[in-house]
Parts: sequence; C-alpha cells; structure tokens
Amino acid sequence: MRDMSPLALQLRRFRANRLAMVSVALLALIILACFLGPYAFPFTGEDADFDYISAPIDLFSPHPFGTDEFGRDLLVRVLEGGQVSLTIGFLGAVVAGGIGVLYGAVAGYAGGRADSLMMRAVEILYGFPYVILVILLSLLLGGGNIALFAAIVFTLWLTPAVIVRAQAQSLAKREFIEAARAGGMTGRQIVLEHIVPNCAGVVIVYGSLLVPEVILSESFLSFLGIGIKEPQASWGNLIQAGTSEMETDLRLLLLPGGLLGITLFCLNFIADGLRDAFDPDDR
Amino acid sequence: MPLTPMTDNLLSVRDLSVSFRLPGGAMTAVDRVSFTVKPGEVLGIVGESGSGKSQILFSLMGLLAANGTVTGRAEFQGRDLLAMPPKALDAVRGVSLSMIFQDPMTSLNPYKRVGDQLAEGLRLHKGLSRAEAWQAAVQMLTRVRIPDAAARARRYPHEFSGGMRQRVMIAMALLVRPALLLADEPTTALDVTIQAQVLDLMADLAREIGTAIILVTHDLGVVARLCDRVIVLYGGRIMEQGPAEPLFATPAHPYSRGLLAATPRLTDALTPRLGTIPGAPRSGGAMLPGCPFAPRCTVKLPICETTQPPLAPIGPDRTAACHLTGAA
Amino acid sequence: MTLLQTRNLDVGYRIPGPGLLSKPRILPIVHDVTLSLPPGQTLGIVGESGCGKSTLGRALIRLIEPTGGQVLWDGTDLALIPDLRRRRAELQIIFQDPVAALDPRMTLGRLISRPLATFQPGLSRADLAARAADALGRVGLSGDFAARYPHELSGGQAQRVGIARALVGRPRLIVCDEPVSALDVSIQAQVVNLLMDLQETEGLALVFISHNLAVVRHISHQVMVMCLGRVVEHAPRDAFYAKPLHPYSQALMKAVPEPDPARERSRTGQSLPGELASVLNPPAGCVFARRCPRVQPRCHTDRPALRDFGGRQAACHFIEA
Repeated sequence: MRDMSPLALQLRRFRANRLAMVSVALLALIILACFLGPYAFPFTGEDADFDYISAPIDLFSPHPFGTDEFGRDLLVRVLEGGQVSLTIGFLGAVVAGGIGVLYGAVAGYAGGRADSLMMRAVEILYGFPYVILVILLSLLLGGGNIALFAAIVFTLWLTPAVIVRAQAQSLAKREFIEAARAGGMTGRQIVLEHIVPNCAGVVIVYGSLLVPEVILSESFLSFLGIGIKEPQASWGNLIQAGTSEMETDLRLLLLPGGLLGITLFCLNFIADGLRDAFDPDDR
Repeated sequence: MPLTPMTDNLLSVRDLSVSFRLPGGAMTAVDRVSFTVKPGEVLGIVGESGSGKSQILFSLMGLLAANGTVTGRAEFQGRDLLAMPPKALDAVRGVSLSMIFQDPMTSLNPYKRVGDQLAEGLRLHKGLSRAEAWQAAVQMLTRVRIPDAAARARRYPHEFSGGMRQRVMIAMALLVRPALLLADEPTTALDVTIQAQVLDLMADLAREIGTAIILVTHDLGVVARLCDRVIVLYGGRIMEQGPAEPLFATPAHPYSRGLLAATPRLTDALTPRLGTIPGAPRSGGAMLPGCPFAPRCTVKLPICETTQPPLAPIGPDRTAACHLTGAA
Repeated sequence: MTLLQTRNLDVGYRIPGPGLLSKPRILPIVHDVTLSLPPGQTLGIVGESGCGKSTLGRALIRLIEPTGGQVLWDGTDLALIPDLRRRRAELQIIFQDPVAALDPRMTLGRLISRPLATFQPGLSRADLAARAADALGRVGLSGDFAARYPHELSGGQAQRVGIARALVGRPRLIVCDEPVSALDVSIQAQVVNLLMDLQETEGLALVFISHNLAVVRHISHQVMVMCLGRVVEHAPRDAFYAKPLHPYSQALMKAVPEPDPARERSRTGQSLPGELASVLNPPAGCVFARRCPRVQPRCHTDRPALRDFGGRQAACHFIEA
C-alpha cells in the first residue's frame, strides 16, 4: 500500500480479476488479428478473385474461410471490417467521453443557472430520435465516414455528461474543493486539476461501456444502410449483407456476427471488472 | 469492600476475543477481555479508535461482521451468548438485551412510522395486541419527553431532529424493559445540551426500570457522569478497571493518566499546553508481544515490550495491566 | 492594531429561485456580527449545530461572500482588495474532516505546494518542493511524507498536512473550523498543542471554531458564543470561563461533562429542556427564548442587543453583571 496512488491501487484490483484479464487478452488478440492479420494474405478484402466465387470453407485453399458472391475473401473482409468498427468504437468512446466529461465537470462544478442551462440543452438533445439525428448530422456534415463518426459521437456524449455532472456536483461540496478555493485557484483550474481527475473512476467505468455502444451504434447504422458504405467493410454492413444471404449461406452472417459478439462480451466483462475495481463497495 | 460473589452477576464475560479475516491477514480487535456487570450497574468502556470497544458490544449482540470470529464466554441469565445459535439469540435480543447506536437513523426504519416501530417489539416479544402496544409506545414517547407524543408517534423518523431520534431509540430499547442495555457512543453525534438531556434520560430510566447499562464511549466526561465502574481499553486489551471515582482520582495505568491529562477542562488551572500521549492509536495488524501501549508509553521498561503485563489487582476492586504498578 | 475586524456582518446562502429565470433568494445564516482580532491572538467561537459559526468562519476569509456589513483585513475592506487570489496566502483555513480536505489523487507534497504556485507564481519546481518539505517539518512530519497519498494517513496526520498546506504561504491568520472534533482525545491534544506552538513561533492569529468549550478555553484569548446566527456573548477568555453572563453560555457550561465523577453525579438532572428553533424559522425575539430558564414574556418579542458590561458583552435583558 506504500505510496501507491489511488489509481495504481484500483488498477491492481482490476488485474486481480481473472475474467476481466482474460477478456483483455482475448480482445487484444482480436485487435491484433484485425490490424495485422490482413497482411498475411496477398490480397485485400476488396479484391475479387474470379476463380473462387462463393467458395465454401476450405482451410487448405487460398481462401480458408471462403469468399462471398463477388469472390472477396471473407476472412480478410471481416478483419478489415474489424479495423473500421474497432477504430470507430475506441476513438468514438474517447472523443464522446472527453466532450462529455468536460461538459459535465463544468456544469456540475458551476452549479446554479449555468448548470441549469447546460443540462436543459442536454435534455433537449436527448429528446431527438437517435437515428434521425444521426442522419441529419451526417447529411449536414457532407456524408462520408468522418461525418458519420461526428454524428455518432454527437449523440453519445450526452450520457457521460450527465453522469460526470452528478459526480462533479457531489465533489464540489467536498472540503478539498473549498481548500482549493482558499488556495486562490480559479474555477477553471479547479475543474481541470481537481474535479476531472476525481471523476476518473466514473469516466473509466462508463467509458468502457461506451466502446461497445459505439460499435453497436455503427453496426446498427451500417445495417440500416446509412453507415459505412460498400465496398468498405465494417462489421455492421457485413452483418447486413450476411442477413440477406442468411438462408443460403450462413457463413456470411456467422463470421462477422460471431466476432462482433465475442468483442462485445469481452468489452462488457472488462467494464464489469473496471467497475468492481474502481468502486469496491459496489459489488 | 467485600468481594461480590460471581453468582450475583447479570453478565459475566470471560476471555472474549474478536478477530477479523482481512485481505492482508488476520487482525485481532479484542484480546481476551474479561469483565462482569451486576444488575442495575452502569459500566463504562472507554477507549479511542482501534481499541475494539464497539466490537465487544457487537459480539455480545451477535452483530459481528461476516469476516469476524469471536471466542470466549459471555454468561447472561444462565446462558452463553457467544455460543447461542441465531434463533436462540433472537429470543434474548430485544427482550432482555437491547442496544442503541451512535447514529439513530441506522436503527430506525425510515419507511415505518415511529409508533409502529416501537410497538413492534412489544407485539413480537410480549404478545401485546395492536392497541395495547400502541398505547405503551405513546406512553414511552411521553416518558422520553417527546412533546405531543400521540401525534408524533404517527410521524416518520426523518421528521425528528437528531436528539429526538436518539430519544426514540432509547424508548425503543427500554420499552421491553431489558435487563441489560448496550449503548455504543449514543451521544457522540449530539450537541452538548442535547447530550446532557439524553444522558440524564438514560440514567433516570435505567434506574427506574432496573436496567444495567454497558456504555461504550471515547468521552471521559460522559463516563464520569453516568458510570459506576470503568474499563479503560487500548489495542483490544483492558489497561485498567475499577469504580469510577477512585479511577479518575488516581489513575494507575500510564494510558489512563495520559487520557486524563489530554482531556481539556472547563475548570481547574490551565496548563500552558495540554498533556499528550505521543504517537497514534494502533490501527490493525497483529498483536504486539508485549503491552499494546508500549509504543506510546513514556515510562516503559524493557520488559514492557517483550512480556504482556497481566491484569492484576492494585486496590479494592481495581485492576490494572502494567508492569509498573508492581502488583504482578 | 487590529488584524481582522468585522462590522455588522451578515452572511447568508443564495438559493436559486423557484423558476428557471427567477431571482435567487437569500437564506440568512449569520446576523450582525461585530468582532475584532489583534495579530497573534485566538478568537474562539463556540455554539451548537445551526448557530452559523462555520458559515461565519468562511465569510471571514471571503470563502463565502457576506450579504451585509464589512470584513476588514489590516484596515482594508476585504471585498475591495484587488488581488485577493494572491493575498489568500495570508488568510487560510483548516477543516473538520482532515482526510476529506485532501484531494485523494494528489501526493501530499503536491497538495501542500499547490497553493504556493498560485501565491508566488515565479517559484521553480525545486523551490515548491523545498517549501513543502519545510512546511511538513514545521508540523512535525518527516520529509518522506511528501510522496505519500491521503489514504495512507491517520486522522491526526491528515490534519497536520492540512495545517502544513495552510502554513506554506506564510499566513497571518488561520480559520480553524472544528479542526479536532473528528480526532481521538490524545491526538486532539497533539494538534491543539501544535496550533498553540505555531501561534507562538509564527505570530499566527487563529479563529478557532468549535462546539467543545473545554478545548476553546485552552487555546483562546477571547470567546464568542453564537446561537441561531447571532452573538449572545463576547468576552475575554478568563472572564468568560470564570463567570459566563448569558443564560445560554451558562447552560453550555453546565452541560459539558467533565472527567470528574463526584462533580458530575451532583449535576445530573439539571439539563436544559427543549431544542432550538430552526435556522429557517428564526424567532422574533431573543434567539434563546424558547429554552431559557429565566425567560419572561418580553423575551419573545423584544430581541436584546449586545450590551457592554465592562470589557465584555452579552445580549440579554436580565443580566446582573
């Protein structure tokens, strides 16, 4: 216990959680596979191989997991799709979380009218139907992947903001914040140096839940056809394609679906582990 | 003073020890504590944090945390409280053995009316009817000086102030006319003038009903006001024991002397600085081989760190555990 | 030469109005306090919960804005001081819950030196660390405490760190808000002694807020008793404890249990009945009328002002000096 920061102690508690650590390992494996795996193959997920149209699973062929109706290697497509989905997931969680944390910390610490106005704004945004908001924003920002990313983030920063604001409110009443004011610190300094770091626990736990949310969000949108567009692969549009072929060729659905499912399980166990580690009374 | 025969005792505790299983190892909170309580007597157990004083009460009531183990004997009305299965203990708790706590909100159900909570004990344990129990509850509330008791009994705990809640808790505890009342820091969270009221009330009622009290506190003044006999506890062990007046007048143990010197007074001459005890109360860990107070004792001898001083008589009805009192 | 002075100080809390756009209302907590503290001395403020002493303490260093009256520091109105942030080095505060007063995520060294970075921005990292180590030494903690975290500390150690943080900017006044109430008796004594030592060596003025009359007696030069936001008595320490004039002060003295069984047994049964009115619904007349053993009809309607009784003051219609 000697001279270990609260963060270090919490991470140590996390590392003791077997299920969470296994999930971390598995997730790391999936990430590695998605980003490095495609290099093991001489073709990309968009190359059509006319010799192997709709080829079945044959571990000894150049396409071990088969191809789709355009002759594109399934495995590589799924791995490349994973790159897109995971990148959007983690990056999206970080950005949405970051915005939410700052917004919530300022609102919670400021209190009074500023807080009221800020939270009314959040509530109004909450009222918009999610899909419509994404479509609108996506169009407003010119379509394309960046616009999609921005739109997803814009809808997802709201909940971290609300959660952090509650935490910031209770922190603002604590004596060490009064002590900071007695030490001449400005409101801005207090929010950045005291409030935000002490929301770390809440942020990390919630942030880890944001990642699967973003991935699912993207998958859902791509499934609806308004997300990542062909020929670029993402787990979402791969699942969409697989669903339409479900009756004839289950592989097209199972491979991306299975990988998405495993990834989400891992993320949720990690989130559980983080929650236990950062808030030990909350068993 | 003639020695009182053992059979006169209401409660007879022998070698009570409490330890907890913690991630870092076992921790002894109470180490072989023995004492007796006579009917109608008020016994004070005084100690600082880490002394184990509250754990003594919790073990007697069967309220020890799941990771705690208790050994020893506690004979109460012919049976050993520490060896009783939970069901048997239920027949004693709330009937002849009651407890009140520092924070009254933890023993009052926020969702039930105060009158109902008071009446509950009577209906459960004494078989009174609803109406009879309610009557008795209102009478008791009046007895503990809650103004407008009949109306107040219909209210909920959050509608009472801290002092009043504590009085309600006393009412609840004494309504069943227990033989023994355990009180864990009952006035620590109260304002000074309210504390005085509550202490007076406890003393009056207990005398009226004939209830004995074990009062756990860190406040020497409270002990002086209410208690007939005192146990001074440190690091889970008894340092000194005896009737209140002689113990306060001529404390034998260096810890007792230190505590008294460190307590500021309203009267008596002012010293330039308060008397202090160096260091800090123990917090967890295994028991030391010698006297638990040795690390902080200003008059210790080499033997104090290696050998535990036994609790030995030092005067009429007084004992102390110290190599320096020369009684061993 | 007065260091700290107040004139008819009122302090209240701003509560947001009922609607989104309505004006905030003021809930008054402290009424009409006038006091004066010379350098190097201690003003003890006693009272039970709800008397407003903590609120007053914070207003004295402008941690809360007063709603009426003035606070004068070295003769200047505190509300008009231009660079208050820097000047806060001179007016510091320590809190009741010592561990909650420390940011759990910072090392003690950083905690202690952080205010100094605001008070004297030019200091280097090494300077800040040195000043922190020096402050730790002055409160009796070794230098290696600087690398520790708040969760490793006992209550007494945490309060010493709080004092070190207050000391680092070389203050002239420290407001102590119930600083020993949460500590064990033996540790209480250590901290009180430390404050008294520091007062001697550094010439510190202290405002010592507590509900514990006995501790206040030990450390104070003058004593102020508060009830429901008003001062009911104000006197030099020795005169006050020898003979408290106001019925509330007398009741407080009688209520404090002393570690003297013979004396205590004879006092049992004389406690004051009833409870004080709530701060939200203050009475029209004397704040103590509801519980006063010497109450007369006049007390309920006619609030007594603080009257002089030869170097001391009390607010009661019926005082025999």
